[in-house]
Amino acid sequence: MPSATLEDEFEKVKALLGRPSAPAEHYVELSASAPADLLDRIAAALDGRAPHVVIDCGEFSDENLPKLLAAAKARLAMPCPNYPRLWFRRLEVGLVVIERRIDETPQIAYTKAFKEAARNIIAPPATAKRRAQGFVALLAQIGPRIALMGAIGAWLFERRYPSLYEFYKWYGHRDRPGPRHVPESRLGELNNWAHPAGEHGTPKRRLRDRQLIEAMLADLRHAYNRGRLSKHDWYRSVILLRNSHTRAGAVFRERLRSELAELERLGVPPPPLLVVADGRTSTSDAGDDE
Amino acid sequence: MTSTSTGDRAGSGAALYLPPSDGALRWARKRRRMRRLSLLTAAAVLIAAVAYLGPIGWSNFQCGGLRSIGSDIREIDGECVGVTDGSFVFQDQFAHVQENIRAENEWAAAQAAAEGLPLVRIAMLTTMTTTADSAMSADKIQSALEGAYVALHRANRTPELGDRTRYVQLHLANEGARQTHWEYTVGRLEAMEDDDVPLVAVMGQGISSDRTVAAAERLSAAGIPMVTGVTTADGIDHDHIDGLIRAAPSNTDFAVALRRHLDARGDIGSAMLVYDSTAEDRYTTTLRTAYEAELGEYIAGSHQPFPGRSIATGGPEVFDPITRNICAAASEAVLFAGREPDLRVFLDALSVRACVDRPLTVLFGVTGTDMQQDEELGERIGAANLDVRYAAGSDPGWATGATEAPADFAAFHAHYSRLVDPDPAGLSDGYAVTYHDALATAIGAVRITNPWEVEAPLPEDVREHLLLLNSEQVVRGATGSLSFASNRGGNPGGKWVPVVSLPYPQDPPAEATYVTPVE
Repeated sequence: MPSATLEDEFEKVKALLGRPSAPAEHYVELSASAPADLLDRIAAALDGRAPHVVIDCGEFSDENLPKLLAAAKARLAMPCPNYPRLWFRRLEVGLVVIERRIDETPQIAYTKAFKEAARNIIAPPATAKRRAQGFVALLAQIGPRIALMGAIGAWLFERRYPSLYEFYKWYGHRDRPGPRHVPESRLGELNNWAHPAGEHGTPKRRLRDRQLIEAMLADLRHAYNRGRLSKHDWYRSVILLRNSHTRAGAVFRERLRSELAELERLGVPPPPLLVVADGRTSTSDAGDDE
Repeated sequence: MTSTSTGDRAGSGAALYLPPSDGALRWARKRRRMRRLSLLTAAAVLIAAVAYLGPIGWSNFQCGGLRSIGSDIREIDGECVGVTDGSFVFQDQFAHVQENIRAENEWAAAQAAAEGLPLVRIAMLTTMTTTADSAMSADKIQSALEGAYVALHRANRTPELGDRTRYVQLHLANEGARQTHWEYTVGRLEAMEDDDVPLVAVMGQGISSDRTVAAAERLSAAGIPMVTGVTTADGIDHDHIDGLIRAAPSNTDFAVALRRHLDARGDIGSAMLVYDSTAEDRYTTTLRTAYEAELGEYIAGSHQPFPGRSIATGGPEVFDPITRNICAAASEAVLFAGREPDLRVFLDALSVRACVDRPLTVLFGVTGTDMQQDEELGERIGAANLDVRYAAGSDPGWATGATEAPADFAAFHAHYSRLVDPDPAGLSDGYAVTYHDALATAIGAVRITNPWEVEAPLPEDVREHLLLLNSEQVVRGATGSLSFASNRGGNPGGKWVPVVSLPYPQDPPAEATYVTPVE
């Protein structure tokens, strides 16, 4: 196998950085003969050019992929020159929902209880809402036009900086064609996959992880479909996987690949994400645990 | 190993370069444009703000420095005009009396708060800066301020000017040396109607001019009642401007006083009329008209016009042909209808007239004059065989006891001596007594307006009470028990109008003083 040069490997990455078209490549695996520091050099080249994150898969357990996703989210959400701030509200809803078992009650009662819990956990702070209402009431004393402008301003602020509560509804449709569902139902399932009922229940991590990955991809897709990112050609967000041969890396790649395949099959637009893995692949590429 | 060495070989070159994405490049360009546009917009807004607010701030700053920022005093054409509570001193000469007024205002506010009584403001609107050609001299303005201060002090601290149901503050409103900035100042006064301590009346207009009338008409339209100071021109009264009465006698009152004087002395059969031909000067034109109406039987010979402001137009030479005509006509007396600066020049011209050996009486009407303080002029008058007499708003002999004074003059004089100056000479120009009575009249109207109400009265209500200052509610002024009624058009009844000699004699002749009719 001939030795790979930096430029050759980087060209492979560059070729996939543009806006993805369906069907799209979302994954680049660097050559095993590539320099050991290639991933860092690519990361350096991406600095200031595209949102990116280097994930060392060796630091994560394959059973706790949500932690890997949370780390990726935190870094990708950091400011990148010229890019707007990327928000991962749908993923954050999912991460909040899987933190602990919410309720044992089945069916309708469960949905109701979950909704209540969801409101408590992810609803906008009551004090902030009360303050906004108080502010508008104060403006009303100056005049109705001023109050109207204040109310519009508060509404625009809420639109610009929505609370997590606004995003849990995504779990009812997930951008997929077909009928909508009750979002609490899907979130309840997610919570149940992470925290199965009963003392001997087995977590359905694959389903859990794919749901969270789907939420993250949806966040990226929505971010690139609005504002300045919706115009012209911007580089995708990039996840660079170091030690991708580890169990966690393999599980992540497999679940991402499965999810992307399903989304493509359903006709959901491809997400603006590129995953670059270092060349040393693991022996096992699966990781089902259901 | 191979991989590493290959990587090292490959990696030993320059860092990997990734050009910015098309979107980032376009956005960066757009952002640069937006930044430039924002900077330009901000600069334009800043320049506009500086251009608009800068002159106001700067003119504000020039009149009193940092303390005056946000005040109602502005520098316009080199003069500080606007309204002050006394803290901004318009001229150094007024510093002491303005400080007294400011302190009295503070005392009134504290007292009103302590007693839970309403506090109101009255503004004194007149010229408070002087220039070479200003309409009022600094000495007269100072006298006016001192008289107003005495009235303010008496009203707040004694029951002599009505029950102390309302405490009063006096604000000073300067309209400029030649009243050229009356519009700005009147605008400030209009705004004061809505202050926490409301403006309820304006007093003190001192010049019978078109600008005084224009300002009065605007204040009248705003519902603000007025009591003028030393304006005497006929036509500046309640009959012509709603809500305006005056403290000084009218020119007709002067003419009547002079007629009674001539009737009483009986040694003068005729008089020549010398008048200022400036048509725009309401004081001189209505004085001439009043002479003609009231002294028609005395006026003989051709009238002698002269252009006003004779100092600027040629000094005594202006009156040379007039003095020749006076001598040629062998006139016994002259009725002078002109301003005080012109009178000085006229008297200078008369002092060197051809017929100086023949006595000549000069008669005129004026609220008060500071020529009484001019000893040199007095000597010239005596040497020129002149008998100069004027109908006035007050008599310098009242303060010295040389002549009988109105009943309430003594009370005023006692306060004046204690608060301002024990020397009676300070009252000789007549401005202090007139402005005292003007403010006392305004305060009287404020205090008889709905006295049972716990709130300050509205200016409109005070205005309705101006013409009720009569009968049981006369103003106990220094120049008489002043009575105001619609049948006299808001001109003061009960006002003493003495005929005074210039210079004032040591032993003035006893003569019945004309008192304006009440009805």
